[in-house]
Amino acid sequence: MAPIRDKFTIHSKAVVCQDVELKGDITIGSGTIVHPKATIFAIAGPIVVGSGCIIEEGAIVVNRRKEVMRIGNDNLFEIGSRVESPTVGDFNTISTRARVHHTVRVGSYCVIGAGCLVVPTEDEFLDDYTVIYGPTAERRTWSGRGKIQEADLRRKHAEYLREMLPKFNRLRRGEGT
Amino acid sequence: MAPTVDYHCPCLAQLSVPPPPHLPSSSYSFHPLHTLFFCEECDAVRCNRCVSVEVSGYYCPNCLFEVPSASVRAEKNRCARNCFMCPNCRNTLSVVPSDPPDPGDGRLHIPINTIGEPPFFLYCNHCRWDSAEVGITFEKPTGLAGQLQKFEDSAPESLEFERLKEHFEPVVRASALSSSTGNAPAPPSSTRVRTNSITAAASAALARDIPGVVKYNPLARSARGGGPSKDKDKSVNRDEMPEYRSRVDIVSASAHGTGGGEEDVEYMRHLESVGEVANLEQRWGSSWAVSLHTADLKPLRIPLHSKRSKRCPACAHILIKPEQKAQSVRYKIKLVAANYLPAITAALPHQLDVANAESTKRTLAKSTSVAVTDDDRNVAGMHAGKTYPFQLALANPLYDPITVRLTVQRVHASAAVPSSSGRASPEKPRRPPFAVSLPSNSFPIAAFAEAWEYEDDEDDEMFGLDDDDEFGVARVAGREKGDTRGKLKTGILEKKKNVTVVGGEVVIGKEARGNVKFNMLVSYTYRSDDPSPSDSNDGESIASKVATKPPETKTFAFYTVVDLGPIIPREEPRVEAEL
Amino acid sequence: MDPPIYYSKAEYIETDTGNKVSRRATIAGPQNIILGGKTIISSAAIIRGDLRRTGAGHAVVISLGRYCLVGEGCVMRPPYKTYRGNFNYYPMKIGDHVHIGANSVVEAATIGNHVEIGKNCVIGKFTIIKDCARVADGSIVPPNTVIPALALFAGSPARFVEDLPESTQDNVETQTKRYYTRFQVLDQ
Repeated sequence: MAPIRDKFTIHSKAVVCQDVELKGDITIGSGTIVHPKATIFAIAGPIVVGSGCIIEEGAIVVNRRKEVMRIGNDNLFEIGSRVESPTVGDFNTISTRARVHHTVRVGSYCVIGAGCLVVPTEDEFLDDYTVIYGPTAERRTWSGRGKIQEADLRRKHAEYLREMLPKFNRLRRGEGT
Repeated sequence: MAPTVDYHCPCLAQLSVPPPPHLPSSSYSFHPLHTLFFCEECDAVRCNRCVSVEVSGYYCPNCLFEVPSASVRAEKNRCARNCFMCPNCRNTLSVVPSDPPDPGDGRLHIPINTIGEPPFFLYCNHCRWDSAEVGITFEKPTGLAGQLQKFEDSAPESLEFERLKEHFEPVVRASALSSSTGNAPAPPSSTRVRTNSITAAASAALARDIPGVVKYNPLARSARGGGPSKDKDKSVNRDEMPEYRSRVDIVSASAHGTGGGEEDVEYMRHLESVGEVANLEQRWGSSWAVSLHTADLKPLRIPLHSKRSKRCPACAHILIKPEQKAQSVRYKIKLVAANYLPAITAALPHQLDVANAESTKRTLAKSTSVAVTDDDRNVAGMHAGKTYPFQLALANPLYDPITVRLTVQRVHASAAVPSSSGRASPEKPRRPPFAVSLPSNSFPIAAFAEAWEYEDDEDDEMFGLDDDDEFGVARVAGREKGDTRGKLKTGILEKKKNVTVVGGEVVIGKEARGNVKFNMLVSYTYRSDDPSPSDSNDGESIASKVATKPPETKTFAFYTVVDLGPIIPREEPRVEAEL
Repeated sequence: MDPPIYYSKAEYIETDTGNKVSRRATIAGPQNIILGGKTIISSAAIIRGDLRRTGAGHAVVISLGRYCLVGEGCVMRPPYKTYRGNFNYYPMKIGDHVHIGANSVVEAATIGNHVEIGKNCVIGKFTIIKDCARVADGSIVPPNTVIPALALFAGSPARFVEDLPESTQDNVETQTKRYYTRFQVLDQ
């Protein structure tokens, strides 16, 4: 396997902390926040993260496939979560210590509950508003009630972090800003 | 697993000798020291299985509101404020406002400073179930239970129950009356059982003939020729009551979502996904008959918790009396065994050596601290056919020094014979597969003190109890020794503060399997400063106070079970070096 | 009889009040973190003192009492929410004698005294844990949960399992003190 060539494209309005592990071809969109101790690994194909996402400490985003891994806008990857999905839509929440395998494509407004492991053996698409929760990763469909308030919370959260994180953490700048 | 030492509670049994440790049932008689109580009045150990318990207060485990006992029944033992359980995953629900109306242009429209608006609904932040799914919304975010009260009261089950209560009311009242006039059979003679009007009525009702059902009477057949008995008619009259008519006919009840019947069969027949049927756990918590449909599940008010006092079952003295405040962890009275009996911990030195070496190695290698974990068990297991030393550390909780004597319970050797032969492993030896040696003489443990002011040269003699000071070793169930390494590690190993460590030895038979587990009698002698009148001797416990030098010292004896861990059988080839 | 737990002198910094903090832990915004004394922060732990409440002046983000243990790989982070339309992080307060097992994530609002949290737990935002409670290994405690005093919680979502014995406070206090004593420098 050819050695991974690093190429980081970080939007000027994104906040990526210095203490973050990046490997491979990575593009990070406007307003996205990457907390310290997060990891983004583009092992095979590149990873493109949209705008307004929050990637918290200890979260790991990996692309094992050749195709481009596309992560949409306003997603939240909570502490210690691990996502290898080839595509992720918008406004998803990958909760603390949840793990999503590369066989799963995630729609929009999905919630992967804390500590859930999603590893179907065959390729699968998670429909919009899917909620996965509990010890056996049970599923149900969210009514979507409260999504505007939640989106509002996420936007304000990202806004807060864009202001506060640079005060306490050194930031990383990409090649093409 | 690290070796364990559990303590025996006789639970008022006549026979105070505990069951042999290899019987699975023996685990019910032994408890960790910190779960036991001690009754000073009876001078005996008590456990959660034998104490009598009474509720001293109710509170909601979510909002922590302390509910007055008077309103608990009316509120049906559940929180009557804002606390609800998710019917889907049983998480606690939050009350949240609705989103501002969607402009309907298909795109997510987030106005600046979104503030939720009425109606409010209950929302589960774990599985994202919400009460609007089942049509429950609130105009204001407070007093939710009150807002739902009318639904709860108008539920068909609730109405049916109220109707039943109404129907039986006159009968209950009548029988309460008749029991008080002495017509009913005498209540149980025991004065311990508190009788109130309800239990009296119930017992009276149970003792009566059931109307319409002829009481079985072996003499009745021969007496039949004599015509119908007159007194039977009398009893029928007394119990006569109008026939109960239910609100809803049972045949059509399932149409109202009360469960059962053709409706449910039909529903199940056309089922498309398992998720549409509420699982047992989801329906279990509901007090009434619940619909089978997941879509019908309603939020449940959270059941109340209680604070409890505990009393000695023999003398009814209070052992545990919590403070009134629900979230206080302090007690007005707390008589726990840990304050009376020496705390015993067991250890296998060869396990500790391995663990220590491991910890040191890892600290040096990774320069990170490593706690000793249970994983070391395999490395440091006990092999059949070998001899192992073990240590017992005894900590004295008393402010006076004590003298302790340990004895391995002999009975289990003979008791093991009949019961073990038919058990899971047929080749199990008929004698206990191991022999345990303990110091046979008594040994001292220094007093507990808040500030440690101990001399190193702590003398061994404790108020002149011991005549022979030599700590010999008695082979309690002695058999031929296996491979004994040079030095025997029995006797006192260490004395430090209020802890004395003694060494023992276990010789494991060649064919041994199972756990090295044995009952041990611990008797300790302590100085009794005040021979108070409360120290009554009642014969029901093993806690017999023997005044060896009256009245200064007393002896208390209790049984423990020591489990040193599993034996690794011979058949399993293992190459780890021991010690 | 418990064996010592060794650490290398090079890894830990010991403060005047006996706190022991691993150099391999990530402490963001240390000026906003208070350690009560004799508290141990293990390696690979992350403590987010930087996520402070907006506004002028000094703000305590995370406070831990005495004889606490933050296990290896734990993440301690204050909870956040919007209140009346304004976003903010809110401080996290932890009492004395609180042990948090390895690899647990804590976003609680308050944790009382003598609380034990197991390994691999997720303690959701704004959770309130009262005195002498215990959370079993691997539990998922959803946001806003209240865990009453002397209760054992376990599962996903974590629920009440049983009442803990009356002697819990004494036991936990003994254990946490003993742990601190066992935690020793390895002399090479």
